[in-house]
Amino acid sequence: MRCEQFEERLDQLLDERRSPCVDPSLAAHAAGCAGCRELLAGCGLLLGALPGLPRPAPSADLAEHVVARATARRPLVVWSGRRAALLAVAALLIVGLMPLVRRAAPPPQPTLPAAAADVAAGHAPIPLGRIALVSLPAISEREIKVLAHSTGERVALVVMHFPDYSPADGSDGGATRPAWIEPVADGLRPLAESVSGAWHVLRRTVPGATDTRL
Amino acid sequence: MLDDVQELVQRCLAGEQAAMFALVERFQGQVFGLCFRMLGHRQDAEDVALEAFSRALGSLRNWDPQRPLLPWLLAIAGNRCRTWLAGRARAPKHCGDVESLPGKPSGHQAAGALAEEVGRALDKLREDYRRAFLLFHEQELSYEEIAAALDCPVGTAKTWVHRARREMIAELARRGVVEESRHAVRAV
Repeated sequence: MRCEQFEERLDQLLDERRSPCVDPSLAAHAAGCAGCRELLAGCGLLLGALPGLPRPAPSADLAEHVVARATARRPLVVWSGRRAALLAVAALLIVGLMPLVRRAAPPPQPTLPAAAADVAAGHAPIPLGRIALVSLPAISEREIKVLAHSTGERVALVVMHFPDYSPADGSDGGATRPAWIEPVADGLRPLAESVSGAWHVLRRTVPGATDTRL
Repeated sequence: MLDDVQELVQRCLAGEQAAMFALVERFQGQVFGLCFRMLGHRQDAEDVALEAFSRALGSLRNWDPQRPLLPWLLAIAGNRCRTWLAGRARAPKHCGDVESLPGKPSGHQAAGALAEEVGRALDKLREDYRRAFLLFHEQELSYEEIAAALDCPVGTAKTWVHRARREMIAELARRGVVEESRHAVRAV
């Protein structure tokens, strides 16, 4: 046996987790070769010493720490390729269709002119661009609600309903107006009063102006 | 055994804390043992084992249920050790790390002294040799499992284990632990 063969055979036995002693040819070669004898002795020493190496146990709370860390961490969401692709397609569809949906929505129709025209049938045309309105035949609160589709329209109709309202002439249109508006336009009274108050305060700053409210 | 582990893993994936606890307790000896042997420091080994288990629990979905779990865990632990060692190599070294000379030959007969010498020889190994050696001789993994854990061919894993043995024996001989040191161990 040559030294290379000795080493090969030794490695083979150790790889199979067998003792070199099972092959007498190894001992025979080692007896006549100092280097191989040292290798053989070293293997025995090394592998015999391994179990004697200190093996400290982990601390008792290692598992506890691991679980605490694992559960404290946000769970990892693993997206499959298919799932991620579906999500991407859905997102693209939503983004792509959004402008179409917006475009398809009908533009808001000014319903007030038609409604007001019906109410005012047979009378002078209603100057909706201004608040100064012509006198209209009396209509009930219920009719106002039916005719007007929005708060703004209701306000306009109420204003039309009360001929004494005439902001174009500089007056405040009467202190009772917000009270009349409120039944058909909830919440407008405080707003109207605030605006009215601010307007009067502003008017007082103008030299020569009179505040009829105070 | 494999079925048990698979069931444990499934329960872990479902978020069951008791299963996570059981999984760690089952494998902590091997994982911590490898970390300790690789790092040579108890607290470092504890930290790395904790990190390795945390990572393993976070990526359990990536584990192939057809393969044993332990090599997979040890691969993660080994990689964490390598990262740790790389960081330690960049850190300033401690002073006074003087290598103690071997005592009289009779002193080497003591198991403690011998273990210390073997431990020292182990520390001198290249990191990949050391991992391969420990996985084979201490963790008793097969070469196929070692190759998977180290992400290398089986032949390479074998070579690393063989070279680790040779180098350790040479180191023991150099320090006079192995008798008959007249003839140097052939370099590989």
